[in-house]
Amino acid sequence: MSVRERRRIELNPNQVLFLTGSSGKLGLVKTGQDMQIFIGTPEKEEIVVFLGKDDIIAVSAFESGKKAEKGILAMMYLLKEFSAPIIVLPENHPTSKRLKMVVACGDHINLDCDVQAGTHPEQDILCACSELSGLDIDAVEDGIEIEGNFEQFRMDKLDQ
Amino acid sequence: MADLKMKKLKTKRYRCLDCGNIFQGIGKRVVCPSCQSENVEESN
Repeated sequence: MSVRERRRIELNPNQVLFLTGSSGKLGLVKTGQDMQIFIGTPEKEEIVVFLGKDDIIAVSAFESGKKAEKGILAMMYLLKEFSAPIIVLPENHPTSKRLKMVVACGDHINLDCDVQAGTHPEQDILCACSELSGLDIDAVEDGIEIEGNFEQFRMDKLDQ
Repeated sequence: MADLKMKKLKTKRYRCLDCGNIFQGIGKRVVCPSCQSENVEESN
């Protein structure tokens, strides 16, 4: 029987935490301020997600390495500085297989490798590679708490 | 990857009392996304 670890990691809004698996990478940032994320749904609706300063934004890339990190940082920049909207694709949309990264936000995020990328508007579930699947991430004051087992991670400056 | 059954977000519908904008939102501190006013109310 494996034991799930729960780790608290300090993270300020100018930092990004990367969790790495063999086929994917996850980037986590704190919002640091009240902000909004706009979601366009297949039902032609717009949902506005209102985030507080302690909430987190997670970007999951379906490849690892430096290229994935640059993509994650670019997506963080678009969301935080440009208020770029997120688009939810209808199920079985042919473009789902082209997605290189997906986004979630809020005070709790569960990573799951068993969902179809880009099809779910629920912001507490995020598609991720198998090694990171099952992790539960909670926003806490001045950082995050992650429950589950992961090995490779590193912190970097957000502003690069 | 398997499909996920879409479950609806528990959003609420709001109306901005300053600019009249109607929007769907979810979260803690709701403001009008058009004019940033906090003067909003739930709308049916």
